[in-house]
Amino acid sequence: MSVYIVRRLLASIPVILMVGIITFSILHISPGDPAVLMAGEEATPEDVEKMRQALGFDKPFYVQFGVWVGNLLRGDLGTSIFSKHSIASLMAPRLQPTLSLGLIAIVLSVLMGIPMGVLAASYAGSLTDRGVMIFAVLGFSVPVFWLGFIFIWLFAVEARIFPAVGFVPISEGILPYLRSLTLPAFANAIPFSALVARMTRSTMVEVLQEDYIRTARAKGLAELLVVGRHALRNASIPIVTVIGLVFAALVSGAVVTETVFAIPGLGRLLVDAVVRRDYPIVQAMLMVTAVAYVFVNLIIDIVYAYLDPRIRY
Amino acid sequence: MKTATAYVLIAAMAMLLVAACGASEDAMSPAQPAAPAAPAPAPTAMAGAGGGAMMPAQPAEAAPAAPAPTAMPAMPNVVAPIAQPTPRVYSAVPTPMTTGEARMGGTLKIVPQGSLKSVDPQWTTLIVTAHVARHTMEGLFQLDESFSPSPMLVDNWSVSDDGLTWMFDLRDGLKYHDGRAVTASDVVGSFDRVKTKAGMYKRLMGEFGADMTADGDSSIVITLTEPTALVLDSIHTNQSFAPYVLPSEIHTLPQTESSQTVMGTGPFKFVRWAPGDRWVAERWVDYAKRDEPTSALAGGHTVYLDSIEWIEIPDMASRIAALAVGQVHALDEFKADFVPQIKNNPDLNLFINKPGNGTAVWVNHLKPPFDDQRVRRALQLAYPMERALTAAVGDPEFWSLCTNYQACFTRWDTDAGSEGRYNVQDIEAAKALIAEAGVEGMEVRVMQPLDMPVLPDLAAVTAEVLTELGFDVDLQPMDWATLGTRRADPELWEAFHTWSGTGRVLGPLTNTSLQKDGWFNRYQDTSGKMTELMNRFARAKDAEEQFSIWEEINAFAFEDMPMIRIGDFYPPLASRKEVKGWNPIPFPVLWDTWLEE
Amino acid sequence: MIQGPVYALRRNPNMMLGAVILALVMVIAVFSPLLTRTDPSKLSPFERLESPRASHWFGTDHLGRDVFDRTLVGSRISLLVGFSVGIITSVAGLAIGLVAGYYRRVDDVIMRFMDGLMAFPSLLLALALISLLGASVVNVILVICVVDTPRMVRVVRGAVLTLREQQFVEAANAIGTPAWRVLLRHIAPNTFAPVMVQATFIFALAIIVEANLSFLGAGVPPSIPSWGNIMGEGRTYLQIAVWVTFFPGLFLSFSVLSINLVGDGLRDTLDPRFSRRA
Repeated sequence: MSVYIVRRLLASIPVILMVGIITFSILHISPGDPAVLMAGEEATPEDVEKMRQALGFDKPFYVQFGVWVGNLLRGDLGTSIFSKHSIASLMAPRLQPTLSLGLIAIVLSVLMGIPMGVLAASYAGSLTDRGVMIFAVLGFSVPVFWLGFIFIWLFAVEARIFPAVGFVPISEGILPYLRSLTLPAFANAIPFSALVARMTRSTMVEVLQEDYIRTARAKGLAELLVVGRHALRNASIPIVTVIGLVFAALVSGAVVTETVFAIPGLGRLLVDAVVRRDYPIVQAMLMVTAVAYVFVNLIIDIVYAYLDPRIRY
Repeated sequence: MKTATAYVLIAAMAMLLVAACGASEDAMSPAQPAAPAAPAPAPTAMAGAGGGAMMPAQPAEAAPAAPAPTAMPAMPNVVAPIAQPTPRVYSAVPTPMTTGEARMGGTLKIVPQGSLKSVDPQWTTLIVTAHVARHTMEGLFQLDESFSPSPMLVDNWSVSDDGLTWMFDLRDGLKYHDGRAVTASDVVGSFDRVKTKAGMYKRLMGEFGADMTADGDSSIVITLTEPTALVLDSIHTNQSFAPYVLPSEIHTLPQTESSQTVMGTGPFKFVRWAPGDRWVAERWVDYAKRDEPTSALAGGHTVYLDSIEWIEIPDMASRIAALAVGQVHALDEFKADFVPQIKNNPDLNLFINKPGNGTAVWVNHLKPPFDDQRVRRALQLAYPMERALTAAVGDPEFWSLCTNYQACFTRWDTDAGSEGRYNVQDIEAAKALIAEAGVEGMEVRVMQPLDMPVLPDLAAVTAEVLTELGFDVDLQPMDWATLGTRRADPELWEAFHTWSGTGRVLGPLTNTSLQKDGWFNRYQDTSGKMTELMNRFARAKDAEEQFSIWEEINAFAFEDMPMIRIGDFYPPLASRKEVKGWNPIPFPVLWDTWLEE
Repeated sequence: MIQGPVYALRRNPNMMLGAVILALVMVIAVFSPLLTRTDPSKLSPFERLESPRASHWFGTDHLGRDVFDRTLVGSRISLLVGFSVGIITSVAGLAIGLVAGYYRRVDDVIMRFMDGLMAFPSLLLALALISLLGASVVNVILVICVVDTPRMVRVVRGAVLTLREQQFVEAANAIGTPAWRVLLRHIAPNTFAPVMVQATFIFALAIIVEANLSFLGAGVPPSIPSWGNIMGEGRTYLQIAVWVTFFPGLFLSFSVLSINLVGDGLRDTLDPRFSRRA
C-alpha cells in the first residue's frame, strides 16, 4: 500500500509542474499591464517603467517563472498589487468559509443524491425512477446564481428563517454558523446532488444485476438488506470518485455562491482579483486550488485502493 | 425514507416555481403607474456622491469592479472663498430625524458602493477609499455643507496685505491615533506627496507660483507670486488625491507606492481591513473635537458609535435583502430601481443624493472622427438625453436634464450656449454634418463597462445613436478595470461614459475634462479660448464675476464640446429606522449618527 | 444499437421526453427570426421593466427590450455555444485522445498536460481566461472548450486503451495495416458511442457555464442576447421584475434538462453494460 501511495505522489509531481506552467503562462500572455495598475492613477510612463523594473516585469519570461517557482517553494505566494497584503494572509481567513461551504455542500449532495440514486435504481424503469431522475437532472439544470437569489428572497427576505448574506465563523457559535451556511450550501449542493444521484443510480443498476445479489435475494434476504448491505457497498467506489469530481465542481460553484451570498471566501477573492487585474492573486489562487485538487484526487485514489482490493498497489 | 426525501425535495421545488410566478404578479402591479417605467437601476456606484472627496468624480467604483474613477472630470473647487455660499441643493428625502436622545454605543454596518482596493487616498481617487479617509483622516480645511472650505486642523490664518503670503496656524494638541503630535512638516510633506497630482493645488503652484513651507512646529506658510482667491480651494481635502495630513511614514512614500497604513487625526480610529470583505474603525476616544457644530465634513464631529463596519456585498439585489432583514444598517448609493422596495418598507429611510452625479459622452479628441468639431456637433444634435437617462436610471425623480457642464440645482445653473444644441434630437441635421465631415461608415469603438451601474446602459444608447448616424459601431463590453487602462491610450477607443460626483459643485477649474489635455478625452481646445477663459476664471475677483465668466465657459463648452453633456442623476441611499441623526447628503459620514436600541 | 434512435426512444420515455423538448427548443431557435416581433436589441427605455402583457408576452427588461424576443433569439446563442463546445471538444478530444491512447511515447506528456488543465476548477480557469481574452461569443466558446476538452480526451483515451488490445486491432496490425489506418478505420469508430454520450453532457454543461460566466460579468456580451446574459443582466431585478430572469431561466433549465435526459438515454442504450438490463 505505501509503495502505491509513494508512486501516486511521485506521479502528481509532473501534474503540479504542468499546473504551474499553465498558470504562469496564461497570465503572462495577458494584455493588461499590472505595472500600470500598481503605479496608480496619473502615474507617468517613467513611473510605470520604474514600477515594472521594481517588480521584475522587465526580465525574460523564464527568469520571472524561476523567481515565482522559487518563491512558491519557500511558501511565498506573493503580494496583492493593490492592498499590498501578502496573499497567504488574504487567503488564510477565507479558508474557513470556503471549506465549510464546500464540506456542507458535499454532505448535503451526498445526503440528497445517494437516496435518490438508490431509489431510482431499486425501481429501475418504473415511474418512480423516471420521476426521481428528472427531478435530479432538473436540479442540475438550474444556474446556481438563480437558485441562490430565489433562496435569499424566499427564505431570508420573505420567511426570515435564514440570514440573507454573510458568513458567521464557527467560533461565534455553531448554530449561527450553520444558519449562515444553510442557503448557500443548498444552492451549491442541489446541482451536485443530481450528479451523485446519477452516478449512484447507474452503478447500483449494474450491481443489482450481479450474481451475488441474485444469490442474496434467492437466499431470501430482505430487499432492504440486499440493497443497503451488499449493493450499496459495492457501488461505493464510483460514488467516491464522483465525490472527488464534486469537490472540484464545488470550488467552481463557490465562485458564484460566494458572490451571491457575500461570503468572504476564496471564490470571491478570485473574482475580485480577476476584476481588478490583481494578477498575483489570480496566479496564487489558480495554483493553490489546482494543487488542492491534485491532492484531493490523490486521497481519493488511496481510498479507492483501500475500498477495492483488486486495484494493484 | 429515500422516497420521503425525494418527495420533500420535489415539493420544495414546486413551491419555488409557484413562488416565482406569484411574485411576478406582485411585482407587476406596483411598478406600473409611471409611464416611463420604473426606476432605474443604477447607482451604485456613484461616486459622486460620495465623492466628496472629490475625487474627481468619478465613478467610484462601482460595484463589482473597481473602477477607477479617476480623475474626474469635474472637479471641485474653486472659488469658494469668495463666493457666497452655494445654495444648498441636495436633499434628503426623509429628513433624518434628529429628535430623541443620542445614544452612545453600538456597531453600525454599512454597505459601500464598491470594493475597496487601497486605503491610501493619495494613491487612488476611488470613492470607497475616500470613505476610509473621511472617517479617519483630516486636512487643513474641509468642506462644509455649502461646499465652502472651513478650517479643520487649522486654528486661525491670515493673509498679508499684498495677498502673497498666507500663514496658517495648526490647532494645539493635535495628535495622530498612535499619540504622536502633528507637526507642520507633516503638513508640508503630505502636500508634497500629492503636488503633481492634486488638480487645484497643482494649478496653485504652477500658475500662482505657490510654495509651502513650515514655520516652526505648528505653522505653515504659503507664498505666491501672484495673488489669487483660490488658495483655500486648493488645499481642502476634497481634491483628487486629497491632501490629508498624514504622518511621515506615509507622506514620505513615493507617489506611486500606496500606503497600507491608515493613520490620521480623524474621529474614527482605523482598526482593520480584510480586503474584499470589510474595513472596521472605532471611535477614537482622544479625538480633538472642534467647537463649532458639525457641518458636512467640517466642524466638530461627535462620534456616538463604538465602531463602524463597511461591509462589501457584491451583488445589488443581495444588498437590498441584507438591509431589509437588518443584517446591515445602511446602504451607500444603490440603483434607483429599488426605491419602491425601500419606500414600501416601514423599517427603512430613503435619501436622495442631489446634486448627485453628472454624466456625458466622453469622446476621443485625438483621433477621427471626434477630433472634428462637426462630428461632435452631430452627436450632440442627435443625442436623446431623456432616452439615455431613462435607460440608465429610470424614474425621472432620479435624474434631470442639465444645460450646464458642472451641476444642476447649484450656483452653476445656466443655459448659456445650450439652446438649439442640447437635446434637440435633430437626426437629419446631424447626418448632414457627418456627411460634410466625410466620416460616414467610420468605425467607432464605444467602451462599455459591464460591472458598473448606469454606464453600460448609457453606452448602449450611445451605440444606438451612432449607428443611426451611420457609423460602424463596435460596442466593446469590458470591466471597469480594463476601461480604466484602455482609456489612457487614445489609439484604443472613440467614446466612453463615466460620471463626475458631487465635486462638480466646486466649479469648472477642477473639471479636468474641460481643460486642454486635462483628462482622458484629451480635449484639444484648438482655438485656445477655453484655456483663456479658465485663466480669467481663476483670477475673478468675486462670485459675480466668476459666474459671468462661467457662463462664457459653459457657452463655449456647448460650442466646442469637450464632451457631450447628457445630464445629472441622483442616486438613492437608505438606512434602517434605528439609525438616527444620519445625514448622508452630500457625504455619507457616520459621525453625529447613533443607533437606537 | 443499430436499430438506433427510434428503438432507443421507444424503450426510454425519459429520453423521449428529452428529445421532444430539445427538438422543440431547436425549432424555436432556428425559426426565432420568424417568431419575434421586434428587434431584440432594440432599446425602448420608456417601456422598461414592464410586466408580461399582450404587447410583451414575457415583459421587458431594464432597457425596455422584449424578453420574449430576447429569449427566443437568445436560444440561438445558447445552443450555438452548447453545440460548438460539444462538437469542438469531441473533435479535439478524439484527435488528442486517439493519439495519446495509441502512441505510448506521447501519452505521458499529453496526459500530464490534460491532468494539469483538469486540475483547475473549471469556472475559475474559464473566468481567468476570459479576463485575459475579453468577452465575446467566440472567446466564450473557446474558453469552455479549453476547460472541457481534457474530459473528452480522457474518455477517448480510456476507450482506445481497451480497444488496442482487442483482437480485431491486433489482427489489423498483424496484416501490416498502417497505424493511422488502424486508428481511423478500426479504433476511432468504436469510440464514437462514449464520445457522443460525453458530448451531450458537455453540451448541457456549456450552457450552464455560459450562464455562470455571464453572472460573473464574463459571458457573451449583452448586445448579443443569450439565456445566460439575459439572466445575468436581469438578476439584479429579480425582486422587482422576476420575468426578466424567469422565462430565459425556464428555457435554459428545460433545455439542459432535455439534453441531459437524451444523454442519459444514449448512455443507457449505447453502453453495452447497460444493454443487459434491457
